[in-house]
Amino acid sequence: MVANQQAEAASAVAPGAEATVDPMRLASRWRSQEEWQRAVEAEDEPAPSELNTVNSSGLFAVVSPDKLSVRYLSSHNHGHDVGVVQANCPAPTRRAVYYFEMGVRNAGYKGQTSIGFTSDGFKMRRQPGWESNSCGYHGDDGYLYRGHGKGESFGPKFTSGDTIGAGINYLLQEFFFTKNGSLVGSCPKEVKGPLYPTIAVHSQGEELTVNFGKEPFCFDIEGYILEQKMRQQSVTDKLNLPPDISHWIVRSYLLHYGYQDTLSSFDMANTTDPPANLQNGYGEPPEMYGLSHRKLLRQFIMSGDIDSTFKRLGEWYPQVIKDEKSVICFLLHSQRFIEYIRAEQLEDAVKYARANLASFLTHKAFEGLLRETLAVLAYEKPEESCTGYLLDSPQREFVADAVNAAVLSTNPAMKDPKNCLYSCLERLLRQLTVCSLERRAFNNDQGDAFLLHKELQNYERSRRP
Amino acid sequence: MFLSRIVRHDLDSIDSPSSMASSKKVVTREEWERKLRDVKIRKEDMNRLVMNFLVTEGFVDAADKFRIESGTQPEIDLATITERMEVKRAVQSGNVQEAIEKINDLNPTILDTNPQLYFHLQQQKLIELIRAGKINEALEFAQEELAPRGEENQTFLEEIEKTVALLVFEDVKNCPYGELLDVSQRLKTASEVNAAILTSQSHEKDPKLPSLLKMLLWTQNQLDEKAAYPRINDFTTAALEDPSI
Repeated sequence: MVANQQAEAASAVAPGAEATVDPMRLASRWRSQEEWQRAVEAEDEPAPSELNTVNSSGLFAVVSPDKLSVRYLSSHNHGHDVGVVQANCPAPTRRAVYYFEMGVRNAGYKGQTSIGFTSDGFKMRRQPGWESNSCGYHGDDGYLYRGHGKGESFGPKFTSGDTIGAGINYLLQEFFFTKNGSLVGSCPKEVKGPLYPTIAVHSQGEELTVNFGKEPFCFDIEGYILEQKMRQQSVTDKLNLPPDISHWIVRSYLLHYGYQDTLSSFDMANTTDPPANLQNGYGEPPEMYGLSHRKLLRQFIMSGDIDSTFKRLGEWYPQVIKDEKSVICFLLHSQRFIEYIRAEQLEDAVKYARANLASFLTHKAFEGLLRETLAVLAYEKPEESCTGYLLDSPQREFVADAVNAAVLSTNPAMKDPKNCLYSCLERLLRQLTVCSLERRAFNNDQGDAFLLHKELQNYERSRRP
Repeated sequence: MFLSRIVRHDLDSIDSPSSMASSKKVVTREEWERKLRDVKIRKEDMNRLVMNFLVTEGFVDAADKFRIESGTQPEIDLATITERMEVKRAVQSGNVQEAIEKINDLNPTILDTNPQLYFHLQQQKLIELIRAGKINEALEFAQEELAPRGEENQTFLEEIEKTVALLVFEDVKNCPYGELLDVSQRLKTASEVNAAILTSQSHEKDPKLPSLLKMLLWTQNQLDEKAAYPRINDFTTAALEDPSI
């Protein structure tokens, strides 16, 4: 959907936008559920899905047509005729843990199958772990090999019927291996650069299958990741926050957006319930300004009553809608139009758009958004169309937040205009997101970064029985 | 050829001490603010975070108002918050027996599956009897209900010993375990009860917001090692402070 880019571009040039507060900046919220989903998934890099048949030791082994199993062809005469295969792409790094499994279908003559990770220029006729840019867990001796031909005692041997897993823990910078669903052990990840999941066969009859996650894993990888996260959380949990800071932040959030009824109940509970009695000397947030007006304006917009919103704004904060070509006027007119569509008053919608919206089409800044809004007209069932999200209540809330920001900006005491747009909570969450992304960038793009949407999704998922 | 090598060598030596002194990358306020602006945060997600706080901390009226004002659905039935808060309040005001009965009304498996919680509630009951000066009743309760528990568990035994020691001091101010009579002990037991009920409702026992704030503290500290950037030091204003170079 192009609207977002245009909305963001608009923020630079929107006519009539006050130089200080630009509600268009909130327009990054103007997006559909699917777009949000994509924003979360954009984190996901390509992940291995099959074996690489081009860069494999084709002389010594053959990969099946479905590219998910490999069989040894040669006769094993020396150490340079290993049937080794890499995955079709390196393990993704922007996550806490990467993991895959192989099944030993046949341990063959000598049981010299192995699993591990190898880097780009790995010699495709050697066992993973024998060369410096690799690490591998071998079936015939249960040894771990990291960079040379001599292994170290590590875990049990494995043979026909066993399921063996290999993973990278980016948080701890470790490789780890599993056998039949149990953790065998781990070792420091000393190999740098992109790492390919790798399996190898090295004697007659040996045959392996690989599972890159298409089938359920034998090992409880979800549980393992949860454990790693808990471990990390137990580190951060030891840090001390200023007393009652969460209460303060929630309170200032309610104030910022004008959720006045919630605020009254919250304050009431805090005075009657002793443990949460928090007169903590932080002082009043600067957002008391216009609270009851802002509450009413939000109620009007949330209930779809744009006419009253215009009327009251004209009485209370005429400067906000004085400029008829301003962002606020555009958003309110668009919303009025949308409300007509919601009420299935199509004729009124068209009439209204002609009178109040058409003129905005000449403004580059609004063009994209407006086209998307008007497109709603074209559908018989607009709520099912690709712009149907405009009819949902988050769109009302977006408009309400923009009006709220505009009203806050009329407060002469408001020093930093950014504070009109973003609540204290939002500024902290933005800081957390950027810090977390920057930190990962310093860490060669390894590990997961904080995204509120993903965080809450994970939370929901973990609560499902 | 020679000259250029010398020049380059000189440049290197000029370069390196300063880059050694501060190998940290510096991010200007302007650049940082652009990054902050590009972050995509959904209003509904923030609303859910706030709702989660209200629900977990037991602000039932506020949660209900917030549901109406923001259109955010609470993650659990709000009625269960009321019940949970009643239990919590009973412990906080010293009515331990009432609390135990209410917990069992709510879900009889909670105490069965949490022997430690049940023990702490009984210990609290003993503390309340001692506080009320009901010496005989306290002794009887300690012998009949608590002593058998001490036989099963060493930690419980130590706790019982400390609590019973309160009886020996005419003026508890002199007792080394006098803090058991503090309000803080009630609050400790109350929050344990609160957590157990939340867990039984398959809800996390702590709100998400404080752990995100701690994550921010931690991430900023970690990033400090690599870069100088605008930090937020005061969470109440969330103001960016210029990087110190």
